[in-house]
Amino acid sequence: MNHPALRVALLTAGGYPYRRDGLSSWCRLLVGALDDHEFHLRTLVDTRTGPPPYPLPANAASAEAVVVGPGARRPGTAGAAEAGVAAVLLCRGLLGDERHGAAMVTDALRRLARLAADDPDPLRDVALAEILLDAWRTSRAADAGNDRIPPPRLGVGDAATAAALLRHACRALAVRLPAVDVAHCVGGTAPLLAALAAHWRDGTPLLVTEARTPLEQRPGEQRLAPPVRAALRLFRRAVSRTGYAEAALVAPMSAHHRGWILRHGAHPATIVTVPPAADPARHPATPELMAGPSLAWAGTRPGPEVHLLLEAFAGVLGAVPGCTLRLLCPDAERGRLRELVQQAGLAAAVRVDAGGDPRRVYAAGQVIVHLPGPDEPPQRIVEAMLAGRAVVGVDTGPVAELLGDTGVVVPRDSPADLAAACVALLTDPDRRAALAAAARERARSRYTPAHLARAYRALYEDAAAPPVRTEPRHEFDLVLPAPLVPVPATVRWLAREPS
Amino acid sequence: MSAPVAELTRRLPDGGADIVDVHDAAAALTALGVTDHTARARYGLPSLHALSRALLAHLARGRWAPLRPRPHPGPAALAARWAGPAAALVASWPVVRPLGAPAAAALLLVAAPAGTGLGFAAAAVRARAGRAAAARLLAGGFAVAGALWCLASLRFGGTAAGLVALAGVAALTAAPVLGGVAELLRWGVPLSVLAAVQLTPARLDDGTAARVAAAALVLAAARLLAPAAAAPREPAGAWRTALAHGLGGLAAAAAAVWLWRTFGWVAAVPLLAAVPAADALAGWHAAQRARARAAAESVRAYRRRLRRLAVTTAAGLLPLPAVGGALFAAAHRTARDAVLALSAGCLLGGVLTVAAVLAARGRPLLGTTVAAAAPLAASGAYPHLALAAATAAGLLLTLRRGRPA
Repeated sequence: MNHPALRVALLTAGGYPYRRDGLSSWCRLLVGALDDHEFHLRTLVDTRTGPPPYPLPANAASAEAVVVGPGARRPGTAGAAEAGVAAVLLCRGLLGDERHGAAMVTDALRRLARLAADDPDPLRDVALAEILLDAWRTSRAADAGNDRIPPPRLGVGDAATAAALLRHACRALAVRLPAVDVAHCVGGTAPLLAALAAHWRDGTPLLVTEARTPLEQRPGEQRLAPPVRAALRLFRRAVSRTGYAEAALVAPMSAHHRGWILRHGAHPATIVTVPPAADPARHPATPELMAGPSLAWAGTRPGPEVHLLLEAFAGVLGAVPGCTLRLLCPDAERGRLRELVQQAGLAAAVRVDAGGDPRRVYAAGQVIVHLPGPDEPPQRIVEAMLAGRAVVGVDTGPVAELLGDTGVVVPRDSPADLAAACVALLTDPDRRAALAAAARERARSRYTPAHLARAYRALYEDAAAPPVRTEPRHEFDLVLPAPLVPVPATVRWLAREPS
Repeated sequence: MSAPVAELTRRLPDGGADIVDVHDAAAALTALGVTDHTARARYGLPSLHALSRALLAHLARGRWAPLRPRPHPGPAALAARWAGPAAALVASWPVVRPLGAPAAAALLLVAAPAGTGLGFAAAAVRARAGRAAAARLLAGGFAVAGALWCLASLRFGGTAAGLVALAGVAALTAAPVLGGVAELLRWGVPLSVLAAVQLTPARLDDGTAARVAAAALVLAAARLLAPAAAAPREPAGAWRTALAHGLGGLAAAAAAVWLWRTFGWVAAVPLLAAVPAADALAGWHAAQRARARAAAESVRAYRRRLRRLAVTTAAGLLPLPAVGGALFAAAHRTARDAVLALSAGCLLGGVLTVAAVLAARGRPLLGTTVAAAAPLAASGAYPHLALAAATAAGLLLTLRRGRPA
């Protein structure tokens, strides 16, 4: 079957090809697998970044880290009144009920995207803090209903902080994309805003891959005051809701993410779940080392999951003396992770490594403990499954559905259960080997680059295809309410897919 | 049912203060490891969704309490923290006195900009990046000041004494920024006892007293700056803020040196009281502004609070220039040089206090201009009138409405 070569803008937030992490390796796999398409890689960043650490594949026509900043306004343009209206709609929409609020935010973002064509900072002349305070007070006074409570009190200082952050976020609407057939947004509010702006301004079809949920807090945001965090989260959620509604197709990485997307207003017919993938050739199974019982963990930053792991490991040490734990985190987090290990009094039995590639650490462990951090995409569990080691995961996000019955899943809040599962596997080499083989086989059969390429090739073609006429056929409307939203070809393709 | 949910709320970051709806609540509970199974087994509710709604109902009850900004030390505590370093100076006076006026002036020109600039910059860093980052900035900044003093002491002497004095200024600067005012007040008690003992016949050996005082000051500074050991890098722009506010400190120090050289040591006596008073008033003003920003829920309410604060601050600024004016009038009747000098000291104290308050309002360049312009204008024929005019101008600027947010 002949597939048309498409031009795709792949949008990330500070990711591929400028950062090495789970989602970047997924993007790399995708771009490499679809070598008949032409990719324009755009990652949105706050500060200038160095050259990409990944070598660019031949089908990457361009790569750019776009700095989202205030920039200069085009001379002779003024849109203060329009920006003011957009700001009011945005702030009231964030705090409004789900249906009307979403419509207001979409309207606001459309207006801001229009303004951003001439001014990279469309809210620069707007007293956003004052408007936010006004909307906040109104929301606190209104009847919130069963599923909502009044937002926390917002002071002038916190309103100024929240306004500055919202103003900065909206600058992403000014990012210009090259002329492409599809804008593919892979996680993050800023890339989604850039893709939405391109969709509204130039009619570029939008495809959204959802690997994380926008409720999750970014590093450093725990320092912000609760009302500022609430405002940011409401904004991110509202942008996601708009993105899901405007996208031609939405591709969650798991049923867990699909549930989130459905709860946030996406039409079921536009959702196609495409599980994560990893290249078995890059992740060969290696034989167990003879260095004694050992566990391995790889994460993006030391969060609550590390406390859980260390507490469980203390229990494992009681049952399996001499057991060691290998930890891997990014360079920047190594000191903090070491500090946590020392505080737990486990420095003698734990080794902390830094760097992006988990393969070395996985190879050194007999059992891989998978405790995903709050903003970690599900890519890493597939890499863990391919490592040829038994995997123990905690029941959070999509872990259980991806691991299936080829690993052990324990409750998220029980270090005792985690320790017991690890001890059981460390002391039973046969079961360990059987689970390791089963996990690798499951990953090799379900989460492969071939699956990924086939799914995304179809998704791109569907998204880029000319829109199907949806004008109502009046002669039928009176007798038969036909569905106005056509079922995308991808869904038809999936129905044909052999299991 | 409410007791287990209350316990659950306590486990949430900030007690769930940022939760707004059932999606937030469900996500927060999931992050704690709560699942449908946990909701049934431990909380007797059919699902995570039902538990999220129960959590929302619990949180809703606390949403009507008024905003309570972080408490801060009052002006009396801010002024009293100077007692320890001042007592250390008294206790070691026989040792530091022979260093002479040039060394003291040079030290003032190094310490005042460091204290002022780093204090303001560290407060901004603390708000953005936390206490440890602020401590790191202070430690790094005072290390640079120490190096500068070591260079200066090649000409003026008194390397060790100057470094101890800088440690004292570091402790004074760090205490309000890092929440250590109470600790510095505690350090002030033994130092005050030492100073009192040194004023009695039962005094210790001068060298021993000076060493004890120096050790106490250095220890106090080290304890206050200890969080710097595990700190991330300070945010971009911190050193620029330090420089902008440091210029104000340099101008104030230069004005003090000018006063000393023009009117003699008597004129500097009022400054000994004016500097802690100015520092306390500026610190209190900044804290009140921060409280107003945190507590006001509308720009109108914030402006109302700022107007009241400006009037109160102006009232606090008046006594020193008023005393200076009265002394000036008395000196004209009695023609006493010492009274004229005291008058000039009081008036310059007023100018420096106004400059400090302007800097605390986020106008460091205006504060620097007032502090620097006063001695320049006063070097003419009528220095007292020029200082009074500078104070009046600064007062008017203080009464002007600041930036809203």
